[in-house]
Amino acid sequence: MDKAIVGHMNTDEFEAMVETFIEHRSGEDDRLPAQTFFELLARRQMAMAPVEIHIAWLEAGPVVTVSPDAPLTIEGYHIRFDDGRELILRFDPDKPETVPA
Amino acid sequence: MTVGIALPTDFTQQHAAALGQYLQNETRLDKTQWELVWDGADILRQATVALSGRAQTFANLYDNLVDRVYAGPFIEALYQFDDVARQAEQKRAVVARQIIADLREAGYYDRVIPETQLVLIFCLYWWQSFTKGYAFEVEILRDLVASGVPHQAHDLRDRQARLAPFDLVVMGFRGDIRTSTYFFAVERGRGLPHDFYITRLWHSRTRRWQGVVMLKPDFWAALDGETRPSRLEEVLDVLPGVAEIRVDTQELMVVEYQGWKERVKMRQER
Repeated sequence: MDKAIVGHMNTDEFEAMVETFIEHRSGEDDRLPAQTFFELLARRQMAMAPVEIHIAWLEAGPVVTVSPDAPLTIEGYHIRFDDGRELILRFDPDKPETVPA
Repeated sequence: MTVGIALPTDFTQQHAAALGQYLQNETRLDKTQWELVWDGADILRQATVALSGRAQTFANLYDNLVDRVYAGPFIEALYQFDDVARQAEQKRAVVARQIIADLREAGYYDRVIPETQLVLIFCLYWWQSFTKGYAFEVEILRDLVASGVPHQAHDLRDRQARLAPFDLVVMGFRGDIRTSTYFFAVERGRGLPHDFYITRLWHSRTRRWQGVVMLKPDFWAALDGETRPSRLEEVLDVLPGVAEIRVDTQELMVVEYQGWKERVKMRQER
């Protein structure tokens, strides 16, 4: 039972596993090592911290930058987050009417 | 009476496998697997189960079939126990078996429909988190009273009170009492809003629990004392000294639970 995929398991195996879980787990079963705890806490904090994006208005147009340790990368006006999402900035200073309501 | 399960698209086979690993032996989980367990259990809150034309989320099902039925009596029992850790354990197991029986009787767990294993695991996972969290909280609250540490705490037997955003107040500072996994399994997305956190950490090398309190600088300033800037991996080795760490942008002091109680009492006796 090395690869137990819940939702696809043989019923008898699943129920035996559940019974073992109920019988042998204790309230002290969350043995998350201290170092892992703090690393995960730091990762969670980082994920929640606001990210500052700087936009410099140069003669050639806006330049977008971010701190090197931010959880995203910037290519031109495309901001790519580590989880795969992407934000595209569009600058239309002369066409305010094109901004959707 | 056929039961139907609809899973959110972001619930993956990796989540299901990590939940299986968690059930088998959580001590073998690595960091990534722990995160998959917490993510998976969280995503499943939005999964739906349909029975007799009525669909509800797993979260609603848990609330109706488990929390509203068993949570109150469990907490009431915690207050009556002489040996909270041991007796809570027995009670947890008895109720877990009853939850399985209830799910089976109501038709939400069906042996011939493997997908319903997820409903059962979801309920057992959250019941496990709930019971160990509150057993720990009641143990700590009882110890604070026995140790003579002045504090104000909610009466957990009041459902509204136990859902309050913080657990207790010490020296005017707001704090929470949490098991270490509670930070990630239950309080996802909340960060560290309070002034202090009473928890316990697992020391892999000594294979023992260490009770600690993590304090933000304002609370530490009120207690005062020397600290030692520390790396995250050496925090437990710094104790009984006071480890000063930085968790991303948040500065925290980590103090032994026993030492923290002494410092609070000394400060309040002045």
